[in-house]
Amino acid sequence: MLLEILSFADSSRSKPVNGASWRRALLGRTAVVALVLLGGAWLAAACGGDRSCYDSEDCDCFGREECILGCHHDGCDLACSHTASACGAICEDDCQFLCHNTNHCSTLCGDDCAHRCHEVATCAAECGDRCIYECHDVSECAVRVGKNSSIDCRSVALCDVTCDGACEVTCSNVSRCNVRCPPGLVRRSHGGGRWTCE
Amino acid sequence: MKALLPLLVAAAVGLAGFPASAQSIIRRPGHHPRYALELEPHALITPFSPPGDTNGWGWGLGARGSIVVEHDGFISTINDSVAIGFGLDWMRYEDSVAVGRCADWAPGPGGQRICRRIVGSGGDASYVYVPVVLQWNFWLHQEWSVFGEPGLGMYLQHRDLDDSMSFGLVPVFHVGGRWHFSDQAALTLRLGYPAWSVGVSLFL
Repeated sequence: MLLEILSFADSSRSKPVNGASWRRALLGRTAVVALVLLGGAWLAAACGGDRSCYDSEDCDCFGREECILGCHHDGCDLACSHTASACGAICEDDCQFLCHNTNHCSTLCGDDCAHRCHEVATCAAECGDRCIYECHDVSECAVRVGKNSSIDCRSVALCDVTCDGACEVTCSNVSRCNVRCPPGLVRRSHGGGRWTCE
Repeated sequence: MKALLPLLVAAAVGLAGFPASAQSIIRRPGHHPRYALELEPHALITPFSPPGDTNGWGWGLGARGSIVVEHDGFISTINDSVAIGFGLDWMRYEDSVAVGRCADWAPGPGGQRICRRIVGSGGDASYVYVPVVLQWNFWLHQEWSVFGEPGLGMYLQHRDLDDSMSFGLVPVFHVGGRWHFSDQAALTLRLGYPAWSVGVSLFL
């Protein structure tokens, strides 16, 4: 049917034209040109690229002085690296955040978050229940987590963890490992740098 | 995005090709419903990011009014017509990451600073679009018609991040089809940018 339309359009061009049909043909060509131009503009607009910040050098954070990412829905997957002073994430539940190669990493998130901070001077985080936080090759790592969370510090000068419920902390190759438990729970050492609040 | 283009083309070809074997009216100029205004409330969805600094898919509601300017369209030998369409669409985009700098560093665990608020760009946002389009209709069958709609729209963006508003222009392009289930009404599907729609057209 489209071919039929196109062939009719073509045959109409070869016929003798009066004023009205000439006007119609001109309008038709103008419409086709406008359609092509607008189609191109539409493609350019729609293919503008993903400006959200995942772990890639194309990320908007790359090369910035400071970059904080905000994701106000569950299940975000974020990353920030190679900023001059700081990277950060503010997100909801089930958020993943990877932060590295900057001076300071800040994390604020809800429950069921998984964060990794490495090769920076300082890492700081506040997250809810069932938080998994990994910190390595960092000078200072300071974390406050909800219940049933797990923190892993490796090759860190100071690992400072405050648990608001039951938690498990592993410190390996850590100069100072501070674990604070909430009232009602006791801190236990299981050897090998493993601590729990239970 | 590139994967969607063949879909759009296939949809248009499919809509155009469907009634070919039935009683075609495409060779009968002027053989279509005579109406002055097509009023079409519709629901919207889009996989495309909107203009401005918001990303992600969106959904919304809106309406389109199309005023017929030529009952016999650009091509005298086929059954086409031309209308000018004006729209008002509200859309919500909720899958966007905000990027910026920290507006509120506060002391956190171990005295280390934690960022609690951002100033920057992106994030969830609401949009109002006001498109103006040229609607070129092709009347294929008593129950089927298709159209192309190039145009331009104005948009108003409201960002959740900082309650800011901004205006801009956006190209608009759609291909669509109608199923005329009665003389005065049709089910209308529209594919393109900035959003896809499905609605009911009332011919007044």
